[in-house]
Amino acid sequence: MTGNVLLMLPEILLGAGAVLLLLWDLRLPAEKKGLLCWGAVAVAAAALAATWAPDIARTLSASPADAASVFAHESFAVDGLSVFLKRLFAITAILVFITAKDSVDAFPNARGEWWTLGVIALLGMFLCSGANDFMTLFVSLETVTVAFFALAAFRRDKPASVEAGLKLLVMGSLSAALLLYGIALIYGSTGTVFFSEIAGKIAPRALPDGTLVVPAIPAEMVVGAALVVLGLGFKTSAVPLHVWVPDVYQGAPTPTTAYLSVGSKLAGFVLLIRVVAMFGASPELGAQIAAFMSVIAGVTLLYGNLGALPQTNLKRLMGYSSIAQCGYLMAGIAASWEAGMSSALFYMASYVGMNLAAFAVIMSVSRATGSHEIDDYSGLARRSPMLGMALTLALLSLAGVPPFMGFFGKFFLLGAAYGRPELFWLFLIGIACVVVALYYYLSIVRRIWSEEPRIRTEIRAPRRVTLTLAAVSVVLIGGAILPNLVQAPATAAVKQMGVFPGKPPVPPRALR
Amino acid sequence: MDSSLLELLILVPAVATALMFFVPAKSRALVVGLPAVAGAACLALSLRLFWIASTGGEAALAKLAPPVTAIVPSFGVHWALGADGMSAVMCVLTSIVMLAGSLVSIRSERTHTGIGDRPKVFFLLFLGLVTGVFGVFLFRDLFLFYFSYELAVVPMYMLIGMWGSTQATANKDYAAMKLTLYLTAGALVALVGLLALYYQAWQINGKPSFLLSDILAARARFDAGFQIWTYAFLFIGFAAIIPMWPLHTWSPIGHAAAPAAGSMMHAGVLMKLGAFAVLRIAYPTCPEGAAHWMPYVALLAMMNIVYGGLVAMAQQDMKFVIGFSSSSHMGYTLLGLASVEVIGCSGSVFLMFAHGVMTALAFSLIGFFYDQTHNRWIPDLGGLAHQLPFVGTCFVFMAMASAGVPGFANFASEFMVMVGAWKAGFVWQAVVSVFGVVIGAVYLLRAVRDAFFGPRNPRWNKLHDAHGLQRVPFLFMLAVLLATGFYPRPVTDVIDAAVRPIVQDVQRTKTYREKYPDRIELAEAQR
Repeated sequence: MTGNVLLMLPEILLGAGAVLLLLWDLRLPAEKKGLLCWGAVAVAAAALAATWAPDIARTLSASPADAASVFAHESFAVDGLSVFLKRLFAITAILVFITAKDSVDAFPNARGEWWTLGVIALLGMFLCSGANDFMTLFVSLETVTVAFFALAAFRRDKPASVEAGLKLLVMGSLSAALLLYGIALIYGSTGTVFFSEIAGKIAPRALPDGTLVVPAIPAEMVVGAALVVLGLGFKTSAVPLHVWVPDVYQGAPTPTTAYLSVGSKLAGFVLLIRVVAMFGASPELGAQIAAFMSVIAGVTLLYGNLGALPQTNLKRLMGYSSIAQCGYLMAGIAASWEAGMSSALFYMASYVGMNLAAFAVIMSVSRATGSHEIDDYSGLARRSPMLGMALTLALLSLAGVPPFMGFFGKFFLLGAAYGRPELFWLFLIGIACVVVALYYYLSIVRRIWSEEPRIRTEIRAPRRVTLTLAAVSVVLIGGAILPNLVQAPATAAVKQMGVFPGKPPVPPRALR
Repeated sequence: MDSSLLELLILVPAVATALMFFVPAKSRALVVGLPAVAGAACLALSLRLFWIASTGGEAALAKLAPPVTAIVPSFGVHWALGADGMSAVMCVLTSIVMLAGSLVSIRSERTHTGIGDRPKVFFLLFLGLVTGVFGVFLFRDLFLFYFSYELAVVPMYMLIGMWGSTQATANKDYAAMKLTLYLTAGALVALVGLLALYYQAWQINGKPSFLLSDILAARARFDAGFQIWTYAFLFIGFAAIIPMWPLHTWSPIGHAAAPAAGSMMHAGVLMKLGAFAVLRIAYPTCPEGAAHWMPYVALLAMMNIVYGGLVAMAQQDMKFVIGFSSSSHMGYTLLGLASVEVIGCSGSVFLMFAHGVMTALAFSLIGFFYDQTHNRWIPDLGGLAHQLPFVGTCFVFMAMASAGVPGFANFASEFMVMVGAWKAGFVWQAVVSVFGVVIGAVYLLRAVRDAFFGPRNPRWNKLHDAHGLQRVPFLFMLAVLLATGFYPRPVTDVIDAAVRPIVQDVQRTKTYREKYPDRIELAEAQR
């Protein structure tokens, strides 16, 4: 079965768009390179629109074979999960491109390639969201990573940027090696790379006479699965492959950091959810991997939140905050039941808004002040009330305070972990970290509002950026008041995977 | 209009918050007018609610509840509102403090101190906080309850951090952060209990739901051990905001550093959320727990009263005196709750109302002279009644109310609490707590004497007294205190109707019957 080519329309559009942007870049005079931004935005918007193409294809096609949701010999899934993530990725790219335009236009060299690489990274993310076998997983993941090597090292004139690219390269190679080794072990024990076939081999089967055969899970399968989860931790910035995060966030050009902090991270998460769903076919392996992830989640939460406390550089703090946010998401995924998975999806959606709003402000402020020190954000609300307000809303949402989407997401991520009695310790770490996180986010909010600026000149952000920030802020509040607009598709996507139980898996122990 | 009364009570402050975003910051009339108008509207709506409660009773209130609709079906989050006599009284209190707080801030804005800086943001946060408070009093869904609770807590950080004052004894940044972290940590401890209820009810009902009614429907099958431990989490979590000793330390410094309208909201309303939540959620869902822990709570309440009072005696900063006195007075609320007697618990709720108005009056008066003196160190003041006869008179009235002089609502409510505690058999706790009133008289009368009486101090000759419209909020709050003090019946009747079933539920539990066989016999003999 080859499937309907419409199912891959968004990826085709992105691939073609990247090539066209590159060609256009060749013909554009240097002073008009800014136009490429709108080209990249148009490509991402076209891809976003094309994510509705499968629905159209399904309505149009008469034969059920064409309506299949897998493509190219089951290598590529077009299901609720992948469509949900593709829309998030496209929105991420559009927001990053719109808000990064001024910073990229000010780069001294090779301004055009940034947009092309950005679209290629987006293509990689789209492929990640549908990856349904280990080869596609690896190739699509590397498409994202390699694009980000270049994007991080983009400012060749700045040693910090080159160092960031190099760090990403070294850590990326290490994690790729771990991932590949894990894949090899799994291939060795199952003889296939296709997720559906692996799941079929490890899942318990009922014989015709009704007895249930539970396949034994060999040790190399468990090690392989653990290595895959570890390797993906490089993208999601989970401990122990998180070490690059603060340095690269600080050193890379800010537009790259913004893109990296959201796009690359969510690409890792969608793959993580996919492989967890596959391992979950075997209750034994699923439980082992969930336990492994819960430990990672706990350590990541503590590391990110405690590490953020002494930071003085906002970009670096956002790096630690990004590690911390990964911990919350991992906690929900480690709970491996419907509420945890669907609220992880919800939280990813809110993460796009709140993190990109924060970085949009960081870009605008640093263009005026040339600094990322938190001290230089003192009195920001006096220098630009709009930017101060937008950064405040983004930080409060990251801290998980109502009435913002971050509150709703965090509540149910931790609530899902609570639903499993054996993860009660993780829930306790989670709520302790909420208090710690409140401290460092509010410390910045305090500086923005109640301290006097050292320099009183007004900071002006382009109208394009302020309008984007206003829209994102409205979505962050609106999404908390009407959460079902996002939660319903997220729940549907998780239900469609059919692996995760809809109720807490074990009856919760009374609190004694 | 009655059919959407409860929704309007949430929507009026919420819409006012949203409108505040679009009010031009330069238009001062709009910036200060909007919260006052919203406050007046809320007061009208809550008085209507109170009127329905007092004429129709609980049955009429139950009819007000709008239909329950699912917001997030997969998690069981529902838009569910409901009011009883308790929420009606608390809504009236909130509206009074909201209106008085906005009126007081109009004046403070004119003198270019206090919130003179960026009033638009101030009122934006103020209205957001009020929205959260109304949500806590009216939502009957645990998720939305928690949502509102956090919404009421967090704006306080910025209200103190931006418009607060730093004095020798109270650094506003420290105070703001301490308050926020304590209250959030408290809320998260309570969250452990809330989620325990949610999952336990899910297990029993077979469907996820945060609706209080669904959890109460499953309660019959909560075993006693579960109730006891869940109650402990809920109670400790909510006790942080009451504030119960030894979790009270955020409170006096928070009062001291906050701007006048912030302290009014904080001491007048925010601190009441804790006791309200205990009565609204912890008592009905875990009656066995309530019965089990009551003697310990009574001990802590006694600590609150005596310790808070003694520390207040040692204070020299006027706001710290009132701050510790608040924490001492909230001890009576706790004692009333611990009594598990109808009269004691009703007294607690009535005291929440009385103390809310009294302490809002106190902080507005202190704010009034602090705006001009920039000093509230009691030894530096003195003789202020010469320059500020009206404010001084109001302050004396306030101090009498606080010290429990008959004629004020505080006396009536504290008396009810004592009777409840005595009835519950907490005899020596009640006796010790009565001395809390004596301690209160000591520090309040001393504060009045040192700040307002004595020879004229020429340093304060430039101060001007409240005149004309400035007097309105003070007189308004004073009138409420005196009216409900002389004729408390309408208020206590409404509270009593709401509290009675909750308390009787606890009295019917196995734990209670085993613990107090003699009280059961007494009650039966009286019947």
